[in-house]
Amino acid sequence: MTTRPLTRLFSSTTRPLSLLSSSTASSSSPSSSLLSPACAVPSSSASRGIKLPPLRYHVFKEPIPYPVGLKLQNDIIDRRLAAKTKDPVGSRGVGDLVLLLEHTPTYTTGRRDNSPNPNELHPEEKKVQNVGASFFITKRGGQVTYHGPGQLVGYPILDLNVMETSTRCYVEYLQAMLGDYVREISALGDTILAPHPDGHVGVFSSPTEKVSSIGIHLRHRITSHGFAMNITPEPLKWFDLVLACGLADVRASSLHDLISRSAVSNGVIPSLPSVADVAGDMVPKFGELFGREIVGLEGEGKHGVVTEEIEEIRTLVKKAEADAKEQNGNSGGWATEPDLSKSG
Amino acid sequence: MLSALRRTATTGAFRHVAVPARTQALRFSAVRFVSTRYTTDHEWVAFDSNTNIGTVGITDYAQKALGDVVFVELPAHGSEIAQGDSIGAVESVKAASDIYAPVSGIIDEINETLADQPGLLNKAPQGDGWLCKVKLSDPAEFEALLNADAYKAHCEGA
Repeated sequence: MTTRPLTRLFSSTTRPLSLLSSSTASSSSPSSSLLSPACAVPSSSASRGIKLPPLRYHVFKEPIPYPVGLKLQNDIIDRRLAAKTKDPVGSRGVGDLVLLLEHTPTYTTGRRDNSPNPNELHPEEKKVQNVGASFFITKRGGQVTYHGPGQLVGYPILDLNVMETSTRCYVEYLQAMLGDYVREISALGDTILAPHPDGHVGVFSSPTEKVSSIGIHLRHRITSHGFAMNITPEPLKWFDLVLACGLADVRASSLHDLISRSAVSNGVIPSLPSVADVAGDMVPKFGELFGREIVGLEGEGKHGVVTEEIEEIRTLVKKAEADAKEQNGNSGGWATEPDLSKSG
Repeated sequence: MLSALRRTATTGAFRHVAVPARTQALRFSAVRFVSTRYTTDHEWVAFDSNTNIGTVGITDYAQKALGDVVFVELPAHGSEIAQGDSIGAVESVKAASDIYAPVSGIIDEINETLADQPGLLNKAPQGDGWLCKVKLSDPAEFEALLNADAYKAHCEGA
């Protein structure tokens, strides 16, 4: 299968982030992410020039509990599948959306770990029983990971059929975009590896350090779950308690660590972005990556058409924010570090 | 303990498909009662009208789009499934894609080899990489699926 070409492939690391434009040049710089041949080949359908509606995005202001995010994604996909059935042509790409957020402290794992014995705890869950985080088994690919404040989580909800993108290429594009972002903002160039030299998917700051992970679920070719990137060091103590991603000798690193590392060696004062800053940086990158206008969920877009589907999604997002606020209120907030006093 | 294939009880042995006895000797191989149809979700069903069993798998188009398969999740033997139900998933490079029941019925058998060799799904998706066998509750559902030409057109149009 051929994949629709990207209008912007990956830029050279010598260009400062602030000067990045949505140019169509693809770079042959050795620091840029390489795509496998199947994903770099332009699609014949590109010449059809079918324009997709704007990509939407929403950035959550406060960390949300994991189940709230999960329910939101599934409800959005249910609405999208219903809209697709009702109007397969008109709904094409309308509900494509990127959610950017943080979670409250949570460990999750993928469907490989779905234990047949519901009375038995997952071995990684046993390690973090009382530390102040929840543990969920999800339907995404990938293994154990941690989500929490200080880490940017992104949930692109995209119809890969409409975007004419295969699953494997989608993962590669996401990985390459995240890898390039880390390279640029940390100024660490070639030391940033995406994927790992042994082939593990994600963004690594050395063969034994991982800064960003990917785990996707697809329902009828619509994506959910997505990626996570450690921005501040806050997630790291939590990561240290588990064997994340099934990689025994890999530790988590954070963007702040990496920026400080290169700033020290360059003799400059590091400028450390907040999670919100990184979310803001990611928004235009998604638009560039998929060659689409990107507009806030509440916005009109150039075309000014807001369909019932978008209204329904707006309602779901508002409800999720309200639920998150209520749950966080009821639980009295969340821990900033794991409570090790009760572990055995 | 993690196993690559999640399941409950299984029959263990493979069922042999019964072929009707012929009163007259035929010099050719026995007439095949099996025909294959496809779904828009890139699955195939090879239906044996004699036994009422449909073998289900994903197509070559699907396995190419997924990349290297690392894990296959299948329904439990004996589960009752309705057409369109999510019955498991295929995981490749960090992406787990739900698979859907192309027809309604009862799971008769699952492909145990996929537990140790999930890569069979890439190597032989329409052969040894079959996913499961279903005893159809409504063969008319099979008849309504895409034939080879319609499926090919669907792939090209996609």
